[in-house]
Order: sequence, then C-alpha cells, then structure tokens
Amino acid sequence: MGGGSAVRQYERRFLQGEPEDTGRKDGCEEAPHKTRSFGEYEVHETGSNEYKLIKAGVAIGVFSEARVEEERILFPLSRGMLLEVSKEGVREIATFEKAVLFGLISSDGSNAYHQKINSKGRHHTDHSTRFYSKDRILIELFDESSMKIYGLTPHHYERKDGLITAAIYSKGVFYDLSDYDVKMGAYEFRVPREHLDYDGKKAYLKGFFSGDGSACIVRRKRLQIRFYSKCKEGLEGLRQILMDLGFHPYETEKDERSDNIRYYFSVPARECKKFMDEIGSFKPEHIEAFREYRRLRGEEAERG
Amino acid sequence: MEVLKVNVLRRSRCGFDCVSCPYFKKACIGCVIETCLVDKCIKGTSYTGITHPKSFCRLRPYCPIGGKERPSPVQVSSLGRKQVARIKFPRFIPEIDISDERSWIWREGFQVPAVFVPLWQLLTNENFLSKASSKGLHDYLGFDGKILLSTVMPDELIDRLETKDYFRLIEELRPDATMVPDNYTYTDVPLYQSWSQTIRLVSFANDFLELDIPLIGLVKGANLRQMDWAVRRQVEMGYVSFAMPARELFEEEMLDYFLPQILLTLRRSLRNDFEFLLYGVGVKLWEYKDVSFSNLSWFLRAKHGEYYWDGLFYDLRDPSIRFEECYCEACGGMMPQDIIDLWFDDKERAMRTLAAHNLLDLSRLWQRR
Repeated sequence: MGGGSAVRQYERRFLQGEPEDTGRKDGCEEAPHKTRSFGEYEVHETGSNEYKLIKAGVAIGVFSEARVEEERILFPLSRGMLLEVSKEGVREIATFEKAVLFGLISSDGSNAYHQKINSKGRHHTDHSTRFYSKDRILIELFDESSMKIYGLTPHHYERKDGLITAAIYSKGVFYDLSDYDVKMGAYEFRVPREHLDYDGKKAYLKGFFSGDGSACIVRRKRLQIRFYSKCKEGLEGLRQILMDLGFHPYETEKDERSDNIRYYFSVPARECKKFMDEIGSFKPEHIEAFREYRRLRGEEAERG
Repeated sequence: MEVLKVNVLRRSRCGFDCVSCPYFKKACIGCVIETCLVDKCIKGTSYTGITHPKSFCRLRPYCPIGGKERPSPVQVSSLGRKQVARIKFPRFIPEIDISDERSWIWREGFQVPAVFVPLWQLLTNENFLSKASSKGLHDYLGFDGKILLSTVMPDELIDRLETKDYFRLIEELRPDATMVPDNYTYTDVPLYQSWSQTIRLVSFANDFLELDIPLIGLVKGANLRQMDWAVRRQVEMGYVSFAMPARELFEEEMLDYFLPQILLTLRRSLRNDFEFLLYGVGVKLWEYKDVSFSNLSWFLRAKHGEYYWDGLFYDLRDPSIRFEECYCEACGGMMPQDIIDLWFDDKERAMRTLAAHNLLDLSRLWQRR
C-alpha cells in the first residue's frame, strides 16, 4: 500500500510522523522499552515515555499517557473516554465524569435535534443536549462534567416553578452521545454497558439514581431505594449492571400509583448499606435520607 | 573527472557508501533523496513513530549508523514469459468493503460488471476469510460479475506473505483475476529499500505466471526510474493489464509527474495493446483518457454523508447541490435535501441510497468520457 511519502503515510494511518529535534547523531542506540502482553495485544513503553499499542505485530496506536493496572492498561482518549486494553481485548470505556454524564442524561436529560426553517427560508438544524433539574447541585454537576469532557459551559434557563434547564448546543456533543445511544428519545434510554467498567457502572448508576432514583425512609426505620423510569428496557439494563456489581435487585414492576405508565425496581433492604457505600447519590435529598438511615441504624445498634 | 562524478552519485546523502552496492548498480544512480528520513535523523530531525530514538525504527537497516546490516534483496533468477490474458477493465470498477454488506451494491439491484475485493480485509478478519475460502468469493458474495482480487494492503501484511501464501489464498478464494502482490516504495526513505521492494514485486510477478487466471501487473516505485524498470520487466513477462495504486501520489500531487511518463512507456512497449487502471483515486481526472478507475470512495464518502455530483464530492448540505434533483436509478428525482430528511427517519436507507447514487455518478462519469 505504501507509496508517496512515508511521513504522510504515518500521519494518515497512525497520527504520527511529526518532526522532533533529536540532535545530530554519531550512533544509534536501541531505545529501551518494556513490554506487557494482554492476549493478542502488546504494549511497549518507548524511551521517550510513549506507549505503543501493538496487535499482531502491527502498531495500532501511540499514547503519551497510560495508567497501568494489574489486569489492564488504560489510555486516555478524547471526550472523556479511555481505551482499555486487557486480556479480553480492547474497548472504549467512559471515565467517571463521562459515566456520570451518561447517567444524568439517561434519567433527566435529552439529546436531540430539531429542524427549522430560518428567516431566509433555509433549513436549519439545532442540536442540543439538556439536563433538567430543580436541584442546583445536580445542574452544577452537569456543568462540571460538560466542562471537563467537552470544554463547554451549558446555558441555563430557569422556570418560575424552579426547574432549571442546562443546555449544551453542540452538534459534536449530540453526535458523541448519540454514538452510545444513551438517550434515544423522550423517556427512552439505554445503558451503555459495553462502555462501562466496574467503576464506570457505579458512576453511571450514581448519575442515573440522582435523577430518577428515590431514597426514603419508610415506617420510620427502613430505607427504600428505587429506580423509576417509563422505559422498561432501560430499567432492565440498570438491573443488569447492578447485578454485575454484586447486587440482587428485585424484578421490575409497573408503578400502579402513577397515572402514566411507569416502572420501577427496588434494591433489597439488606443491600441498602452496600448501595450507599458503593454507589450513593449526588442528590441532596438522597444524601439526607442516607444520613438519616445511618443515624437510625446507629441508634438501633446502641439499643442493642 | 568521470570517475569522480560516478563516486559522488554513488554516495548517499546520509553518508552510506553505495559504490560497492552489489545489487542495484545498473538500475540505480545513487541515493540522493533530499527528503531522506535517515539523512534527516542523522542530522538531528527525527519523525515520531518512524526514526530514532524509537525502538521500532524501520529504517535502521538502511542507516549508516544504525548498527544493522542491510537485508539482501530478493534475487530474480530469470524472467519467464507467458501470454497473459487481458482483463477488459470496465471504465469504473467499484471496490467493495467485504466487512460491510451495504457496499455489496448488486444486492440493491444495481448491476456492476466487476468489483475489486481487497485481500487485506480478508486477512485481517479470520471469520470472513474462512467463510470466503470455504465457498469461494463468488458464492460468498453472491455476485456473478467479475471479481478482481486487490492485493493492495498495509505494509505490515505485505511483509508477512510469501508466494505460496498468495497461491493458497487465490486457490481458495477463486477470483476471476488478481493483481500481482503489492509492495511499498516511499519517496523519502533510502532507495535501497524501495529498490529491494521493486525487485520483490517483479519476482512475485514472475512467480504469478504459474497461475491460470488473468493477472494485473502493478505500477509502483519511489521514482520514475523504479516504476519504469518494474513496468518494463512486467511487459517482458507478457503482462498487458496494469493497475497503479495512486492514492498517495495523487494526494501528494505527484501523480501528474509520474502517470504521463508511465503511459508513454507502456505505449512505446506495447503500442496500444494494453489496459491501465488507476486504483484508489476518488475524483475525476479528465486529462487521462483511456484509463479505468477503481476506488471505494463512492462508499466511504456515503458513510460520511458526502454526495458525488459530476465526479466531485460535496457535503450533502452544500448549497450548490442541496436542492438539485437527481434522476439516477438510486435517487429517482430526490434531492440531497431529501436524503438528509431520510437520514433522520431511516439512516440505513439513506446511506444505501447515497452509496448507490455515488456509485452511479462515478460510473456514469467515466462512461461519458
């Protein structure tokens, strides 16, 4: 395939081929490198502190940073994603911030476009990603995630009833989130399980729970943790990742109290503490319920 | 004075002494590439991923201070000769993506006389390769036109295959014709490497004469001398159909320098009894008559929402074409705006329509010429 300039070829295929000043040389020393193997993938650390990812002898990427763990190596990608290389292969996974953002948008967000005709009679498409909440803390969390991942500060609109809309108007963000199908339409969401590692699943659940979760003390002593949604398939996805994390959530049920069609599932009472410790919530109301539950448990323990 | 002149030419810019080169004395006039990466590296400019201090420097064997021996090139014993059948290239031959059935355009009811199937896609996917090998390409693709096997592939795959591997693959895949194996010849690396690769190409072309199917010679080289040498050797062996992988040369604006000269060489050697195909160039080149084209651009551009109109590609939203109706078999009067609308309703159908339109536009364009 190779023709023309080798530099251009490397630029095109591997995003390499940039000139660097290495000084005049009288001899060439083999650059030191370490190798780690993960199945058919190898990671070489080169002398210039770069990491080269190789599959079947073919260099498929070079990264300036990496996080080396026992079972895997993580390379930072753009827009809050990481490339995970492990024995299972290679996949893109979400960072903590991105997983939280996925969760927030899946619960109380939207990712949509609409077409309109402008004053000159031309078609115009608006792309927007929004998050709705009455909790300023959640809005700030959305802003922070947006800033970290996309470098964009959302616009805010506040209604008289206190509902705040944080909106990002960006085609790039719209297409990025569309690629993961986190929010396909109103009330429709999908858990991007294949892009979530252990910590990512926790972060996603925390984000989602902060939006469409409920934590309250019932009968003055028991903590009830529930996930609500109109999207039954989405709830099943949530149950699945909870099970991946070692929880045993109850089956999804239809919420008969609601006039609209709505589903929910609960986390068993015996796993509430685990849920609080490992997942938790960003929502002040939930945090207060968790605190109250811990206080009640403390009192109960004191009474013996 | 004459001796001195020869010595100057025989010494590479990087300092390598070419005077005693046992291999290319006749063909090569010495390595004097101004952009040579080895020369640049020694003088202080390296290129990430290519040269020092990377442990993967592929040019170390060609570097006078690299500490490695230059590999001996393939030796061509004596060239055979055979009456190689012409392929009869149509004006435009679409390349397909074997891993994406949306590019299998005949399934949409659009008849094409021939397609190029890239071998590298099969080599990098065992699943496709085993299916295609067990059934043969015709049955696997469900295509009854001509299947031409493209050997143009990434360098790392080129290095791995030997003649017996190609023969086994061709026997299993049963294409109607095949290119001779590809090579890599860069314009900014020492000529020793590109000459080694050029000789390798000729050696493969010689081996391929044993095959019973029509063969397509390749026009490759880092400079005109290498291209000319490789073409002449293939003509001597009886090749009459040639393909020139030209994407990189076109993008680097070097094609117009090489192509007229190569066509002239072929006309002089074979009069007009040859056929020529430009491979991998996705835009119209009006000035080259009697040249066929092949590319995957029609499909790749469709995947990115790009629309061919009269051989040039546009973003679907480009105002100059957005509201132009098209009456090709795929569009049936639709405008690009209709495809945009369709994209939001049924992305799959929109993409297929756009791909078919692009293919028909390119086919029509080159038939008109």
